[in-house]
Amino acid sequence: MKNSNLLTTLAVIVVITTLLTLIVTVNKIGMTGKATDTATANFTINSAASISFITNVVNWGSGSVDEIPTAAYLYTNGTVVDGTWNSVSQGLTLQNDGNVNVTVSLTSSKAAADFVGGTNPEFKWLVSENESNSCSSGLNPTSWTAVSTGSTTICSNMSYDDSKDALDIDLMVKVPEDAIGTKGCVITATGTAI
Amino acid sequence: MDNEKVIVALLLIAILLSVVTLAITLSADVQKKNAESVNPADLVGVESADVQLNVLPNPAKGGSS
Repeated sequence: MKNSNLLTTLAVIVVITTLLTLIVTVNKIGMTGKATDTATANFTINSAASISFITNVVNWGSGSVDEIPTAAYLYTNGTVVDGTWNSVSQGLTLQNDGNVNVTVSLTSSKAAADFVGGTNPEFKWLVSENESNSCSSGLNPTSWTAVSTGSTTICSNMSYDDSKDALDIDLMVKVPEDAIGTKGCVITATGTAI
Repeated sequence: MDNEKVIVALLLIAILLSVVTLAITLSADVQKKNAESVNPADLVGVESADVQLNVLPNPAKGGSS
C-alpha cells in the first residue's frame, strides 16, 4: 500500500512536470490562431579592424651635421637643430578606418643603433591625439621614448568614430656626425579589434 | 486497485502531454542558427610607414665628418 501511494505521488509529479513543460513550450513558441504574422529581414555587419597611415612617410632628405656640434637633432615638428636637413613638420598619422575599436601597437624594424648608426645615436617617438578623444584608454608614450623593435602598445582603445579616430606619432632622430650614409627603417602599426 | 488505476491514468496523461509537447516543438518554425564565424584576419589591421634620411659628410669638416 505504501508503494502504491509512492507511485501515485510520483505519477502526479510526472504529470505536473509534463504539464508545466507543455505550458512553457507553448508560451515560448506561441500558439496558432493569431491574426498576425511576421516577416524577418536578416543582415549581418561584420566587424573589421582596419588601420592606415594617413601620412606614411617621414623623409628628412639629405643633410649633414653642422661644423661645430657633434650631432644634429631632427624632429617631425619642423625642427632641425644643428643640421642641414629638410624641415619635416608632419609626423606619422594613424587612422582607424575599420568599424571596431582597436588596440594599437607599434614596432620598428630598427632601433637607433641600426637605424642611425654612429656614436650615441638616438631614435625616439611619442604619441598624441590628432583628433580629440581618439584614444580613451590613454596614450603611451607621451614623452620622447626610445624606439623599440619590440611591440609597444600606444593605445589600448582607439576609436573608429570618424570624428575621433586619428593618432599622431612624432619622431626624433639624433644624428651623430660620424653616422654617414643613407638611413631607413619601417614602422609597423598593428590594430587588433577589441 | 483504485490506486493502480489512478497511476496508470496519470502515466497515460503524462505520456499524452509529452507527445503533445514534442509535436508542438517539432512543428514550430524554430531555427537555431550558428553564430557567424569571424575571420580572424578581419580582427587585425596592419600598416607600415617609412622613415628616411641621408647623412652626408660635412665639407667644413674635411668631408669626412
